[in-house]
This record gives sequence, C-alpha cells and structure tokens, in this order.
Amino acid sequence: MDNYSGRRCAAVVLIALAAVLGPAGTAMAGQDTIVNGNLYPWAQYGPRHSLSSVWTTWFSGDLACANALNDDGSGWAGGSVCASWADTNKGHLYCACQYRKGAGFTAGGYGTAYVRQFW
Amino acid sequence: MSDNSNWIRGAALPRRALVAGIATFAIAAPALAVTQPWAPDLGRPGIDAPTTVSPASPSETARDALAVLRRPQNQADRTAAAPLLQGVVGSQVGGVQTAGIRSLGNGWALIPAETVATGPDRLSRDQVCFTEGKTLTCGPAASLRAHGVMGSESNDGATTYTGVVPDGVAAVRFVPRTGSSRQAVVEDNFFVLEVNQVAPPRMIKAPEGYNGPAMIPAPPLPPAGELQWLNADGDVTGPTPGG
Repeated sequence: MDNYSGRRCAAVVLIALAAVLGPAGTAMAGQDTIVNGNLYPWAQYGPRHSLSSVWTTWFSGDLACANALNDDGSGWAGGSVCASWADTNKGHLYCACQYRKGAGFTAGGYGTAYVRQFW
Repeated sequence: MSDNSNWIRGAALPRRALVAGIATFAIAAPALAVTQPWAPDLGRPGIDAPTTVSPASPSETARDALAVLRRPQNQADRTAAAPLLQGVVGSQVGGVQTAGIRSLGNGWALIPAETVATGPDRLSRDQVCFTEGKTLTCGPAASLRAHGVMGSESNDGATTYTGVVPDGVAAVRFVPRTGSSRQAVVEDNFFVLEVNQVAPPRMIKAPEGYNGPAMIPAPPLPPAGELQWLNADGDVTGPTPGG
C-alpha cells in the first residue's frame, strides 16, 4: 500500500469510528440507580463515574437526600440536596470532570426514595 | 440677527421628548408582556437527550395557586432566566412550558413542566420546578396549596431552604428543635431561607474501594425542626403535615 492509500485508509477508519462512537461527550453519557426503595440512615452508594449530577425523588418517611463522594479520599463533592413531601424531586449538578460515587441517604430515620446518578 | 434661540428651544423640546421616550421604553420594555415563542437552551449537551418543550401554558391548578404565573411573562423574565436554564434541566424533566418560565429574582427561576421522572418507568405530571442554575427542585402542582414545592441544601454549617409556596403565604419560618427561629419573606411565591445549622455530625461507612478510612463523616444534613408558613398577620397557615 502506498503512502496515499494508507492515509486514505486511516482517514476512512477514523471517520467510521467517529460515526460509531458519536461525539465524545455523548458516548460517555449514562445513568444508573443508587437506590429505588428503602433508604437506610447510612449512605447507599452508586458505582464510580465522572458524575454530572445526582437526583433524588422522595416517596415517604424522613428526608431523602443525595450527594456525591470524591473517590480520592477528599470527601464530599458538594452540599447535600434533600427532597421532601409530595414526590418532590431535587437534582444537583457537578462538573463531570472527576471520578465520584453518587450517594443517597436520609436525614436520620427511615425513608423511601429513588436516587440516581448521571455522568 | 435671527432669533435662533427660539428655533433651538423649539428643537430641544422634541429632542427632550425623544430622550424621555427612549428612557421610558428602556425602563418599561422589560416589564412588557412578550408574546413571541421562546426557545431557551435547556439541554445538557453531551450528557443526555435534549429536554422537550411544550407550547402549552402552565396548568390551571398551578396558575390558581401561584400569582407569579398569572402575570404575563416579560422580557426581564427571559433575560434573567435564560442563563439559569442551561445545563440544569436535563432529561428528567419533559415538556417544559417555556411560556410559564418566570424570574423569581435574586438569581432564581420558576420552570413549569408537564412531567418529571420519579422512577425508572414512572412520571409525575403537571410539575412546578425552580432553579438557580446548580440545583433543580420540582414537585406536582396538585399539592402546591398543601405542601408547596420545597427542598433544602446543606453545606458546612448551614442549610438553605428554598421553595415555591401558594398565594397568601407572606413569610416562612424555620423553628429548629434547638436554637432560635429564622424567618424569610416570600416574594413572587418564592422564598430562600438560610439557617446557620446542620444536623449533628455522625460517622458512616465508606464505600468499598474508597481511598480513605472505612468510616467517614456523613455529609452535612438539615437540622431537625419545623418549617412553617405564615400569612400577613403572622399566623401559621401551613404546610399541611405529611406527604
């Protein structure tokens, strides 16, 4: 294969890869559930991602809260956002530039909630 | 010599009128109702699917409860709200009723929407949301009169309660289990109440694989206490207990 054909072949492969993967940001996007049901007083954690946000929906019991834990030992990524009463939903943005685990918890007692994380 | 001063005075009047007219327009224009469609940037590019919008007005239930939704949308609403909407709404919210978006002042905006995801395959309909560009809080219009839509954020040493409350609520008061009460005025059916308290610290289990100790301090959480709605006379009028 001459140099020209080789470059053309490489370009075709790159274009095909880009078409399959899509824009880099979109390819990374996803979400999963941290908890959907009973929340206990201690935190329940999601898998590790570069989180863009966490969301919580309160169903019953004590406050349902969400936060994100920096995975490097430096502690919590921001404030704890809490939802309460009548299916209130609350989301919190992060920079999506650092690996974190999303966490759901109550303010002390029993609660039920749907807490999810996005990256 | 011709009397130019009269001519100048004569011209000055229209000029002054013109200046006054421009100044009046500049002051009044943001308050004028806007009727043309508005398509603010609501999505979170690269993170999730574009947020859908709806040409519908906010529901009658929402408008009945909130005076801020019964006034027309104006240019000031759009100018103040637009930067707060970028990147915060996302796919959890659907059918954003852009004609119902209002600026709540102090960097907050009200966002009515047709749906909010409340489970993997579950939607809550007829929603009222609010944001400051970092957090988004939503709840059903159907429970506005009983509960409003309220949430909290706790950081080191302080908790901020925010909420949309129905007409007739003039102030909101937090009565902690220990310590003194704090109160905030309601404007445009919205309040921000800062309380210099969080719940007592406690230790919780760290997740597996965490690069630190097995037990870590829990994140800051709201203090125990009661949030009360007050009418103009200072009487407690809500919210209705329970959910």
